[in-house]
Amino acid sequence: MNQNKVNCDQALAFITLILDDETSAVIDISQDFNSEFGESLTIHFQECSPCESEMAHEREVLNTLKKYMTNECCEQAPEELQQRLHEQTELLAAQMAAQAGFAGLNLGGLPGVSTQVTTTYSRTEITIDGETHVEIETSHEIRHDF
Amino acid sequence: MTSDLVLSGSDASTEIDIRRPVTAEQITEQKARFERDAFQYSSQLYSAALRYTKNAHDAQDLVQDTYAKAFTSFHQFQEGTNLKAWLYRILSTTFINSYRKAQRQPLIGSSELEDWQIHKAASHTSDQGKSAEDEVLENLPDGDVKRALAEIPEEFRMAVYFADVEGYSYKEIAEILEVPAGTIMSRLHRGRKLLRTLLTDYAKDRGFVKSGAPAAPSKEKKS
Repeated sequence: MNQNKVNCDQALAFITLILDDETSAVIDISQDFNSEFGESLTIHFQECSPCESEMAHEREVLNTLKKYMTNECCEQAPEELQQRLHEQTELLAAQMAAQAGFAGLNLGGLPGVSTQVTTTYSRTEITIDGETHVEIETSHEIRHDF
Repeated sequence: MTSDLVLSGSDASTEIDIRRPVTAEQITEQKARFERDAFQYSSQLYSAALRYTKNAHDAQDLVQDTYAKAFTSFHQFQEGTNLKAWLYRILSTTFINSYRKAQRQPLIGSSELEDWQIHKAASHTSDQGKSAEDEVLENLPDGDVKRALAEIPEEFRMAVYFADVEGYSYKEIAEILEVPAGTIMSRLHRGRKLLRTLLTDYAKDRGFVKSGAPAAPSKEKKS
């Protein structure tokens, strides 16, 4: 569409979109744009030779920067940190269990894992004459699952 | 067909609460799943934390806090979605809420939001300018890029890191940093430019760049 035709200034302003292969993201970027603007950008870089050579240079620079960054900014988590993460998770899981009512639970291994269920049930029945109150049933159940 | 099983009437938090582990088995299962799925990203998170905090001590603490929050809200994580990106979002939020306040880092102004128009001042680069920069980039000493990245403002730095090291899309970075995709584009555009300016400055300081002609390469290494 002609209304979406872009000039060199606009194309260079949005060169990042081309380099990142994000021309489809243009609609998320501003309400001023529609998806055709993204396509027009791509077309401009194909048709305009100064912009095309600018883009090729920019791409090369970006790839070089990425290579350096990837090499220099990928540190390994120290042993100490990994140890701390494991200990912290053990502790948090134990706290979670304690809060849920399983105090003293050993989550680290198989032994000691159990489920405790307590049920209390009672019912009082009143006869028609209203004089006799009978407590029918009270049960208390504790179940352990190992 | 009955829709009894669909939680349509309930709000999201109720649904999430249903997934909260309450029995011993569920807690044990969540712990095992967390250790299996989340621990593998500790180095990537540490690396991102170093970009944020710029020192190993704070970075370790930040990663530890991130994993604590992640574990206690792991039931909220939607299985099948990107776990690493979810962890990065917790890391970013944790940094902004706790560490940034303590570090008192200066922030860039709010004017960055609509500044795509600033780029309109862009013009074609001269061939001379291109070759001078190529030369700088070809001869970068070890550690220059890391140092330059640390020097640019945090918002730019993290957008550049997530895009250029992690390879995330604008949409993904926007979700991690909780800002619009347009802001991400702007931060990347300006962040990379700043990075390149700094790298050229370092080279000039070393006397490497002199009006397009390289100085004699120096053997001594600056650290």
